[in-house]
Amino acid sequence: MAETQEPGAATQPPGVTAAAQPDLRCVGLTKAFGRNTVVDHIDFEVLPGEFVSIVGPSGCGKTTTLRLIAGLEDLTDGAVYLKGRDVSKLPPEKRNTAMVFQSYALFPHMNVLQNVAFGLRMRRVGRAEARDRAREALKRARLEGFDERKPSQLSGGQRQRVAVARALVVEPDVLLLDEALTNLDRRLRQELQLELKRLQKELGITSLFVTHDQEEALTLSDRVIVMSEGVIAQVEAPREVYDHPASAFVAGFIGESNRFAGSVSCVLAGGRCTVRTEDGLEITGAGPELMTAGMCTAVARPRNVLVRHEPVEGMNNIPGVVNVWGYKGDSYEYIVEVAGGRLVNAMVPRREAHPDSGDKVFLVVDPEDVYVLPDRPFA
Amino acid sequence: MPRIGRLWLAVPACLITLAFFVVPMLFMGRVSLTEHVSGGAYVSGSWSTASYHQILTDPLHLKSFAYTLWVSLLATLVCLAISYPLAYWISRAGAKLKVLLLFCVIVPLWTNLLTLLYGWLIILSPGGFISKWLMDVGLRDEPLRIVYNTPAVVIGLVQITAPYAILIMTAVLAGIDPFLREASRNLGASRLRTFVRVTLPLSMPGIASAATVIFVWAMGEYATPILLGSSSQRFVSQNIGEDMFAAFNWSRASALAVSLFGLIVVLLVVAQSVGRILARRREATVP
Repeated sequence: MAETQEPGAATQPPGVTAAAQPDLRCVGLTKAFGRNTVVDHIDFEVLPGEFVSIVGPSGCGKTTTLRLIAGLEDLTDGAVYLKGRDVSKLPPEKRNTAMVFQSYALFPHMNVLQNVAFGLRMRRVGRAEARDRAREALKRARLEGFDERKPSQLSGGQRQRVAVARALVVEPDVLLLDEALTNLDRRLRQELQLELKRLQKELGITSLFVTHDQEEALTLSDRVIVMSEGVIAQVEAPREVYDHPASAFVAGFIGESNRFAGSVSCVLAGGRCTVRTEDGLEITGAGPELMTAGMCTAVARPRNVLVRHEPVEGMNNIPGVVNVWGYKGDSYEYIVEVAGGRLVNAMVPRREAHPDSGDKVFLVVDPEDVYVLPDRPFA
Repeated sequence: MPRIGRLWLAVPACLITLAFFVVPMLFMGRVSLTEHVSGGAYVSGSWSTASYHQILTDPLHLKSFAYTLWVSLLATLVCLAISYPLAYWISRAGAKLKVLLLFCVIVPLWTNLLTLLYGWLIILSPGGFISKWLMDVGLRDEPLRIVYNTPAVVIGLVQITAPYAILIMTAVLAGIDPFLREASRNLGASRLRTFVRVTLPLSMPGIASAATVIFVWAMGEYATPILLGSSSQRFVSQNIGEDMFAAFNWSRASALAVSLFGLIVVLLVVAQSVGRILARRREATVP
C-alpha cells in the first residue's frame, strides 16, 4: 500500500525562492466509503504560486482528494494544512479555498455580477466594494458588460469564465479546479487552458487542477501528480513524467506508448538489459532501476519507433508487417503487426518515404528510447 | 402535418373538461342570474341580479366570505410551515429513508376523507386522548376542547392538503442542483446562509405552487368545516350547501359559488403580480 516513490515534496519550480513554505500540504490523506478506500494515505505539497495537476483514470481518487481539501468530504484519516494552519476539522466555509466545479455550479437565480460577488459578500465585504471587485474580475475574464446576464443566457465557455472569476475574486489560499475544462469542446478548451494559465501566473494564485486528460495536465502544470487507485504513482515536472515514467502504469497513462511485457532475458553493459516477451520478441533498453531479473515492461513511444525497410546496426530491429496506416497532419501513423499478432504503433515523419499496407518492414527503435520498467502493484 | 396531429391528443381531456366543468359552470352562472321564488329552485327563463344583491348586502354572507378567506390563509401558512421542513428532510434523505417517509406522507391520501375527519373529532374532543393526557399529566384542570371551532378546521384542512404540499415541495427541492449548495459553502457561506441565499430562493416556485394548491382547496372545502367547525362561523361552501338542499334557493347558491370562484381568481392574480414585482426588485440589487 505504501508507494515506493518519495513523498510529493517539490523541487522548486522556476521563479520560486528556496525554502518557501508550501501553501498546501496534505499528510496521509485518506478517505474510505465503507470498505472502499478511495484515497489511500497520500502525501503531497503545493508551493506558493504553483500550478499542480492531479491526473489519473476515472475512479483513481483525484476528485475525492480535491473535495477533501475543500472540506466537502470528511477525512477518514490524515490532515490538510493551508498556509501552515491545520484545516482538517474546519467546515468548507472556513477554509478559504475556492473551487471551480465541472458543471460550474453558477447560481441560476442570480445574475453574473451577483454570482461573482457572492464569495466577497459572504466574507462581509461591503456592497459597493464587492461590486467593484467583481467588475474587476469580470474585466480580467474578458466578460465586461455581462453583469446583468443570467447564467442561462451564457454559452458554456462564458459560464466557465464566470465560474473561474467567482473563485479568483475571493483570493483563496488555494484554487481548486475539478475537471473545470472537461465540458468544453476541443478548440474552446485549448483557448481557455492558455487563458487560465495566464491568469494564474498573473495573479500568482496557488492552484490544484484535477483532470483525466493527461495532455491538459502536461500543458498547464508546473508539476504533475499521477494517481491510480487511491495512491500517487509519480509526482514530477511534466517533462520528467513524460520522458522518465516511474512505472509501466505512468508510461501507459501519460502520452502514447507501446508496452512490451515480459521478463529480463539478459543484462548488458551500461545499465541496459534485454526484455523477452512471451511471443519471443526481444527488445533492449534501459530503465530508472537496474533490472537484473523478474517481470517488467519495456516501453517505447510511437514517435521513437521508426519504420524502415532494412534493419539498422546497433538498434532494436523488430520484423513486422504493416497492418494499416493513416495520415495525421505532420506525420503518418502506422500500426505494424509483429510476432505473436501484437500490434505496435509507430510514426513516420511526412518527408520520409512511407511503406504501404502489407509491406514487410523493420521497426527500428534506439535502445536509448526504450524504457524498461518493473511491474508495480498498480502497473 | 405532425404538429397539428399531436394537438388531437388533447381532445379527450378538453371534451371532459368542457362537459363536466365549463358547461356546468356556465349553467351555474346562468342560474345565478335568475329570480328566486319560494317553493321552487329558481324561476327558469327569468333574469335578475337579486341574488348577488342579497349576498353583497347581507352582513352574514359577507362575514362568511371573510371567515372562509381568513381560515384558508391560516391553513395555508400552517400547512406550509409544517410541510416545508418535512419536504426539505425528505429531499435530502438517503434512498431507504426517503421511501419510508414518502410512504408515510402518501398513506393518508388513501384514507377516506370522512374517516380522517371523524378521527380528528375523536382525538380532539374533550373525551379524546389529547385532552385526557393533558389532564393526567396535570397541565390542565378541565377538558380541552379543540373541536367545533377554527383550530379544528385548520387542523383538518392542513391534514388534507399537507401530502400534496409536501410532494410538490419535495420535488422542487430535490431538483435543486446539490453542487450549488457545495459551491455556496465553498465560497464562504455557512449552512444557514446557504439555505437563506441559495436553497430558499430556488425553492420559491415550489412554495408558491404548494400555497396555491392549499389555498384554493381550502377555500372550497366542504366536509371539513361542517364536521369540525362551529355552527356560528361558516364557510361559504356551507352556505351554498344549505341554499341548495335546505332553503332550495338555487339562484342564491349559484351566486355564492360564482362569487367564491371570482374571489379566488382575483386573489391568485394579485398574488402572482405581487410575486413578480418582488422577484424583479430582488434581481436589481447585489445580494
